[in-house]
Amino acid sequence: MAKAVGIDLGTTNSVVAATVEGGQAEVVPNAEGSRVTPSVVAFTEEGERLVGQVAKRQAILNPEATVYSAKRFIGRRWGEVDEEAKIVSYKVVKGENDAVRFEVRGKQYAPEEISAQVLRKLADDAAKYLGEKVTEAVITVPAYFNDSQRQATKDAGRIAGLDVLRIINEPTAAALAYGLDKKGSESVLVFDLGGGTFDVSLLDVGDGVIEVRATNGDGHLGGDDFDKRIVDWLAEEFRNDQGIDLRQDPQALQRLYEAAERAKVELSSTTTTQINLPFVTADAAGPKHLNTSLTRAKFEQLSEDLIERCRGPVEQALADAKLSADDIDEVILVGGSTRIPKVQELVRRLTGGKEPNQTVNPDEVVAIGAALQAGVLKGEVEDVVLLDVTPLSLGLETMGGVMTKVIERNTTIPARRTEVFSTAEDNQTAVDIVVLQGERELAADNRQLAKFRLEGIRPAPRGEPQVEVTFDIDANGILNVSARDKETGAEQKVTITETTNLDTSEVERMIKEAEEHASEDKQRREEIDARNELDSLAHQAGRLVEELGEQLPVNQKAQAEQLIADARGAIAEQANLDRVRPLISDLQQILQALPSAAAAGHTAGNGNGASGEGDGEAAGEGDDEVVDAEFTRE
Amino acid sequence: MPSSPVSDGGSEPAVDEAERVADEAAPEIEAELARVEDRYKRALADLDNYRKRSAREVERRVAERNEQVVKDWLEAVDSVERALQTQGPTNEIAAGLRAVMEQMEAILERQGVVQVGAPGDPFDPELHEAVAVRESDEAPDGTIAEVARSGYVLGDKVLRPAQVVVSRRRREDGDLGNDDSQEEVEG
Repeated sequence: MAKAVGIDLGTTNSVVAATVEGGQAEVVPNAEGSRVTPSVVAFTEEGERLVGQVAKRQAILNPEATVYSAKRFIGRRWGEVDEEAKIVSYKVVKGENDAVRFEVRGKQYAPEEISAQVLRKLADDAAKYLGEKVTEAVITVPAYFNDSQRQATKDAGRIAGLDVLRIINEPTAAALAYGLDKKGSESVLVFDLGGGTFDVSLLDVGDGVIEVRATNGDGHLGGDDFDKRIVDWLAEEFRNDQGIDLRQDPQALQRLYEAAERAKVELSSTTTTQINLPFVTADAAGPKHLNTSLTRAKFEQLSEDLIERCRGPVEQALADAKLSADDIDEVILVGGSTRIPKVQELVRRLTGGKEPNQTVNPDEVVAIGAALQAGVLKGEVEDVVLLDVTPLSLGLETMGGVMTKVIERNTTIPARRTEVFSTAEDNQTAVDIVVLQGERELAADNRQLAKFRLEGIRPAPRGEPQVEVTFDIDANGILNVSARDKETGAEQKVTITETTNLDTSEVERMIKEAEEHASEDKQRREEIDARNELDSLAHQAGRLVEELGEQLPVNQKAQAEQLIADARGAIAEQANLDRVRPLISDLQQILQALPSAAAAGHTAGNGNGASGEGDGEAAGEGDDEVVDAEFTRE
Repeated sequence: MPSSPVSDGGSEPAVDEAERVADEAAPEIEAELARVEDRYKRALADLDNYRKRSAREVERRVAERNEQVVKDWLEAVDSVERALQTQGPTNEIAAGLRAVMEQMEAILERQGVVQVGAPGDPFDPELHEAVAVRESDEAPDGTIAEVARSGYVLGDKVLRPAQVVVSRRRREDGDLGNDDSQEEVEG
């Protein structure tokens, strides 16, 4: 089946995404394994055409025949591109009807032909990755593009052999990626700081319609400028130190740029970074190394004016849309440079402290939105059922008053889980099923949804009966809990309708509480689990002593009995881990030692002492594997 | 499957009426059923495809992670390489460094990492990245004059292209584009 993709055709880099299972969209890596493809096309002397990273690598050898930033020219008149034409290394000429043409190796190319090459590579690589033909695409353009620029972009798609389903605005695509079209009426600010361009857009979103209210920006401001600041700083520092200007040496300069970009990226997550360029250059005295550190504060100082340049366009866009900072409902960050903390700080300041949306990778959010749009246009997304999840974990109360989760929080529903439990006491004939909802370790701290009793369990030693408990939650969030004794077939069940209708603040409160109490809860849970284990071991040991009876040497028997008594005492007193763990370990040892001691009869009564230290991590041997937990005694 | 109403011949009018209503509803129900069945199969197929894709994705991620680790370590290899280039040949430290370099090369080889780019090789943008051009009358046009930083490939994946200085025959006009444009491309 042919696939429709979404393409973010950028000035410096392009990204392609496609819908995958369940109507989600994901970025598709190119043939080189990279998620972004430089929007660069080169024509070699041998007549070969190179696209993407490969074209970029040979740019310096072939500056007149390596075309980049074609997007700055697409769909524009000759008279509009004077400034742009001056700063590129290839030749821009006037074509027929005042059109813009690139003259490369004696041949003229329209900007849309160059963009078509990039689109073709993206579509081909995506097809290879997806294992499907790619014939249709949604392509994004800046919101300020005029009709002629949009038409030319569409033509580029056509030249690339793609059926362009729709041209959509980049900020609109970003809003789609966050599903904002499904929300009520809102004002959205999209802040897009890319590699070389800066765009601000204000959108009106509501009832599936997205409208651009205002746009502004700076066509020559982006991540590359931040890199350049670091490069200049490094070079100046080095010159003051060593008297050599590294910028004069192309190889050293290349290393400076790489180091600068990496430092910039690191300073988004750390406050200081090391820059090491050993053997960066040499003079008569020998090799020179560049070793320095750059703090975030210094970087912010170096780039202060760049950050400041983002302010005006935002304020102007707000003024044009006749909105104040407080009118903004949502903020979306697009472009890798929006990862810079100072940029985020500025955005927050300009939007009345609003927390920006940035869960979708800002380098990919536009392509993702375009792919979603493609999916909708192809009717792929139409059939997607919005899947719900359980907002909180569901489980039941087990021995010692702890919560045993059966369905974890965030499980996509409908879902069904079955677990087998057993009894906590000998000859227990009924169990209480307490259905709980929440994230806390102790049953009492969670919400109790229902409670019922399963009776008619045949009397048996504890741990032997098998009670199968099934949690089945349907697509509407209705929970059925049933308990069945596997031996007698006795069954009881309950239906609970109110599992998902908690309001979000309530859910958030419960999750937050669980997080706050996480460590103390864990501690209490460990204590209870350990006491349960000790109880079980004491019980086993007691039975073993009874079974072996007179076969045991007197001193061994006395020792075991003492230990069992100690264990029961510790449980009754709700002793803490320090007391319970050594007892667990002692009991485990004695459980292993007793049978051999008995077999050896009275003669070999030396026994391996039951006083070993250990942390009792190992579970008791010979347990019935099906017992996951045990019910509290009623 | 919804069973169509069973007609038993001479039935009362009330039953006929019910039957008629059921008959009318039947095509709709059948269409609905077909739709639901289609969705159900799609959901199952989605899950199956997702499983397959995740498996591939995990493989890809693991490979990517390995490549990243190797790539990071290559920086240390670069430093030793550079140190060797600047040390005198008789220097004792250089001898030690050479041993370290040989060890590093052996490790890389064991991991299937192969060095690419040597002076004299024809420039290939798939494997090499041009960082400068050197005018020369001797070397053939478009060959590597100097390797500024070694490149490495792992299988058919280029971990890092070799950064090279490419030789070019001196031309009369000497028009190689200006420095500004070169910077624009690199940045």
